[in-house]
Amino acid sequence: MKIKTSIFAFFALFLLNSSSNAQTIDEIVAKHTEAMGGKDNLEKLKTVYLESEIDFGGMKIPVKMWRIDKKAMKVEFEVQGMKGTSVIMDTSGWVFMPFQGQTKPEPMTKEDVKMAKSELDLSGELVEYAAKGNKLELIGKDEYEGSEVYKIQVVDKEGNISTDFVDANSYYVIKKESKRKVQDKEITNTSVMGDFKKLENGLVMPHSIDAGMGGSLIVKKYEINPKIDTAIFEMPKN
Amino acid sequence: MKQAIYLFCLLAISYNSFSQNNFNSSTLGSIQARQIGPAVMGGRITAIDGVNNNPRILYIGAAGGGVWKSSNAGASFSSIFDKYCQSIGAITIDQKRPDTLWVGTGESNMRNTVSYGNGIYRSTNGGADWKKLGLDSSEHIAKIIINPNNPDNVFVAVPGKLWSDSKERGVYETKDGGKTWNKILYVNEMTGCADIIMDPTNPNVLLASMWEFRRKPYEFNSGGKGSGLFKSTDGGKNWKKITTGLPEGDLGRIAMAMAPSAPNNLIAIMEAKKTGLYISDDQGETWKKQSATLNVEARPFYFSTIVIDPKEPKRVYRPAFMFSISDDGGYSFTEANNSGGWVHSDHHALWINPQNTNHMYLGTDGGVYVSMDRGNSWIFLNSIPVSQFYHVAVDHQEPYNVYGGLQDNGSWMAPSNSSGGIENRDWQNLFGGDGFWVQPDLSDPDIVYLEYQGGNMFRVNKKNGHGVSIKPYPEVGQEKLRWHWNTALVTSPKNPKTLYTASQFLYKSSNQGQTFQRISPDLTTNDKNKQKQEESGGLSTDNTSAENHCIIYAVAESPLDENLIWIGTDDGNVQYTVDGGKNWTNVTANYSKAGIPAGTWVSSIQPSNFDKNVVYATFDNHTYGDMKTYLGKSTDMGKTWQLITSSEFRGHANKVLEDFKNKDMLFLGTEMGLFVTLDGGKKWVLMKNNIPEYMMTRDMVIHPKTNDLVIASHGRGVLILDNISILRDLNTSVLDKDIYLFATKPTILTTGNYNLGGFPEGGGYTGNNVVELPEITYYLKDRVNSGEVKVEILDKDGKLIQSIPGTKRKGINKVYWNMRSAPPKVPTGGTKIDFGGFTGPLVLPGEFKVVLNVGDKKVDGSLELLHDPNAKYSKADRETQYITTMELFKMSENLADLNDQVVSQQSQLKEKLANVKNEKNKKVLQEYLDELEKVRGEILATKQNSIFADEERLREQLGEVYATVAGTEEKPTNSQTERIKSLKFDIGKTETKAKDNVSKYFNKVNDILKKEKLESLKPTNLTTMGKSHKSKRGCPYYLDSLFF
Repeated sequence: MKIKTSIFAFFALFLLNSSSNAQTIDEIVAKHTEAMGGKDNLEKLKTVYLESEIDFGGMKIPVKMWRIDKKAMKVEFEVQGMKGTSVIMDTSGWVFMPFQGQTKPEPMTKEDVKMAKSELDLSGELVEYAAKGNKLELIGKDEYEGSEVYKIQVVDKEGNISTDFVDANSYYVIKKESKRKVQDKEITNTSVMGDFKKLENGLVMPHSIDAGMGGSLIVKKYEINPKIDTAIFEMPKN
Repeated sequence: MKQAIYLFCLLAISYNSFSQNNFNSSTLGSIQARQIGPAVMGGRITAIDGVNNNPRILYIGAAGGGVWKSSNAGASFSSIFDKYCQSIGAITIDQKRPDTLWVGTGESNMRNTVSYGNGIYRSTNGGADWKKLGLDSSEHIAKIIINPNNPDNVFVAVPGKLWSDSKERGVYETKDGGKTWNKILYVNEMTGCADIIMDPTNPNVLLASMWEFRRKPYEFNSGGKGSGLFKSTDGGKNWKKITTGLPEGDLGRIAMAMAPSAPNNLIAIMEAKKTGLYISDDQGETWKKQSATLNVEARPFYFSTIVIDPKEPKRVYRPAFMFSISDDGGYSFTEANNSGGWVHSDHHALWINPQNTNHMYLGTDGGVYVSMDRGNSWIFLNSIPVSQFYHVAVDHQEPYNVYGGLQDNGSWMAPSNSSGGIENRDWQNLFGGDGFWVQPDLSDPDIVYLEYQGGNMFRVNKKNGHGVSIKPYPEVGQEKLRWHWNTALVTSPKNPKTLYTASQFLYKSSNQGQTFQRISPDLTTNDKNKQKQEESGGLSTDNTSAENHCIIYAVAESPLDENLIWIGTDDGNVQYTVDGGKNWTNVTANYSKAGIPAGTWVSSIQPSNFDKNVVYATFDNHTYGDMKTYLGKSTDMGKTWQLITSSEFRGHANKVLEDFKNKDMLFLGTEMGLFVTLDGGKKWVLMKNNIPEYMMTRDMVIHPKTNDLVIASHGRGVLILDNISILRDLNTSVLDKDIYLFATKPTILTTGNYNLGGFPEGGGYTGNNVVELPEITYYLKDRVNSGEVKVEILDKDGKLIQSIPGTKRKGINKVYWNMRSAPPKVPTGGTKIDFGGFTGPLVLPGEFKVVLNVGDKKVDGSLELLHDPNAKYSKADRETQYITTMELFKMSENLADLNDQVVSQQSQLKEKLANVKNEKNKKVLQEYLDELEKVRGEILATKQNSIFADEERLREQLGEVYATVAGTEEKPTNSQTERIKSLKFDIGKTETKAKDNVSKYFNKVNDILKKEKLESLKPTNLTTMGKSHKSKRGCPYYLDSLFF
């Protein structure tokens, strides 16, 4: 008799355990928010400046980034003294890539700006998703590179679709797939995030980002809420 | 109490096995297979559907290759069903919500080699993610139709199990998008639904054809009392059997179509004693027989597709053995003219673009074709690698070749690596028919042995394609030889001259098949009841050697002893000889004691590489309806057997392979996956890195030199898992560590052996080559989410050569080093990119240190690079190359320094100019600035900024020589060496010019700045050499370069 109860207890425990694995979107988002440093800290996040480097077989390309939450982002990188720049703002953007002969900055198309706008969300599209107008759907539990992940489909206010892979242990977004429509064709951009570090103010940010360009972006310096002169986002006149 | 102890032990055991093994599928990490194709021919295609309002989106279902999607009308495809069952029966797009599509697994072309499914699946995001929605035990799904007025209302035609009775067949309906199912039409345990159609204008009208069918290992029956045609007019609630005008007697398989634009008009092929084409113009109530060609009526169990044009009710298409077209509603048919070239026979699927009904896609036994002229001519889509191999073999060439035979697509070979990757053009056809075993003669590189179905085997000269039939015939007075569909044709692991084949007897040849000596009596059960294949087929006789039975199927000579040969038969016998065939021992009775059903087809035998008493065998009982995985092992010459089991296993077992170096490493290929054990069979894991998780794994071989695992799949072509030696080193002590760095095997230093092929094939499929770089392999117990992972390569003195960002995945990670150090600094500030700045010098062969950094932890290792002994240049040549590269490297860095000095002066001058007040002074500063700009203009291109501009200055000239010298492994040419001298001369001149200007202006400008009360120019390296720039030889030093 006793043995039966212990078996029962064992299975009950097992069942309990397995049922607690089924999580809702909101539970996952809450754990993700906590993992990234908590709602309070994320709310205080207004600007970011970071310096990083991409290493192509020993050739190091410095990349700088300035971001103002929901307003603007500038990325600047340097190859052999030539600077490439791209800027996205709420309704406009511009790009200057002199490497292939471009002579002056050119404005981005409205479509490009629309597609890149999620980059302006510093706390990420999961945190406070409803308030931001993002729609989330839990596709299910899956495996990414041997680790268990929750796959969450995000449709943002602009209608952009992406999939976040939330690590089921750490609740960090370790991979993001974004669908982009270029002319008539759909392409998928993938970013893999790693080296999550806690910063001084309690926020946790990835320090390595691999966007499938052949090298990882390694963050060397992360400044939270620095003063950023908005003039740097303006498109140069010449 | 006893029970409590028992329970405790049970728990302890299970805990122990958990802790013992961190080994699981994810452990294998980056050990990924290469899918090398081919797609030059296809595999059997079973389903095609396209998006009606965006016909560029197309889904293809394969008999053994899963589901493929094209978003560009077939120009390219991607596989979207890799995690699920690969046998596809039906695909249907929800045309109202075209991102939603349903896939029924389990093909319904019920041939001998058909596989089986495990249910119905749905995706709501265009195939990116899938959910299984039931019908798990159906095994075969023929068709899915969606109610156009209510897309959650779906009907499924389930023929059900082929090899056994089953209640899970008939017509199934869901009203809630697959959450729940109702069986709405059922006849009996032998009869399923072969086809269902719906009136698109009135979804309450349904017609279903019910089919009684059954396969046994030795016969097929199509047709019976259960078959019939049924109609419902209330959405499937009530059905009536249709009889008016139908053929007399029992019916077999019925394929039907309704004209979408005139839904009263139906057409059907009805299998009966007299199979025929039937037409109805009252929505199936009554039928009339039409005359028809052979192609229209042929093989109704296998060719079950008939299609009416979406717009024009009189246009009817019959994809069958060939492609027949009717313009008059099926009264008469003509064959496609095929002016576009050969089209593979045996057609099973057709999708017509409703926006342009001349445009259609056809699925055949040999892949997908597209037509723009309503089926008269066809273009092959050559980028879907769903070829169905039965077996695979390799030779010993470098790179080695893979060989194999395919379902209905002949015999082929291809190199395991090729310039530009393994493209369609790399595949060489060796023979026709259905291909099975292809064995290269290791003692004669021109010769291969191969076969087509029914034991028709040949010795073929690869050079000219000449083939000699080497099939043995019956001896005088001997009974008929029984040849298998997939006849054994195997070689000895020890003696390259030995070739075996088998009917009910085993044969051996030592002279390339010229003589086959019979070395056994009938080793099968010779059960006459299982030898009536001439009567096979049911209503339509169908006897293609596919049902031949009581035959030796598996033949394996021991790698330890040429005289020890094991055989297994398709009717369950296991026998061996220890004297090369003089005497045979039958151990058949013993394996059933281990729980393996008696009489089970022996699908493979593996005598151990380490112990003559040990033998492994796979047993395939699926032809009796039992899909369980049976893997047996005997350690006493077959006297007793152990059934090796695992909760991971699924699908019937096709092949067991023991590694030849690590006796505890075994691979098991089943109909639904590839599994590996590293502990002799206690723990198994599914292999899935770039290996479809339910891949029909039919055969495998480990290459004796490269240690590559080469896999034959029945639907995904050939896969190669390069160098599995890392797996041999994976043991508990490694798996228990948080981080482990594996020893890196010595690597030949090469810029690559497969560099030709810069001009790629248009379209087609390209399989990857092996990576020819040193692999730094490490194990991480868990994914590293915090902390950087990097691999540092140092020379033997500890100087850092390169730091490589590492991957962070759980399990095995691989990082590749390009065998170069960092590229040189080049002058910056030009108007274009200098490619010399992207190339690092190639290191010399030798020993290197490896340091793996994971967060704060470091693990040390080493690696060795070797000079290629086959290279056409010596080690000394390579050293000269290195010295020259480094000389150019230094020149580049020096030129960069010179440029920095110049630019630094210039930027200071620009700053000062704004503050200098006196106009005369300003002029001096401007003069200095301009002179320096002239110097800068000599250093690098500063004017043209188009990539097509060819402004070349010192940087570009130097970069060009540097990149060409650094890009090769050979000694620099004389022109290159001369060029270095002249560049030195030119650089020297420019440097002198810079220095002269500094001499002339630096102090002068500083005097001015003093007067202007401005800070003076910062000293530059150029000033220190400003006065004297004569060399020791007494001439301007740049002339020195001319003297050495």
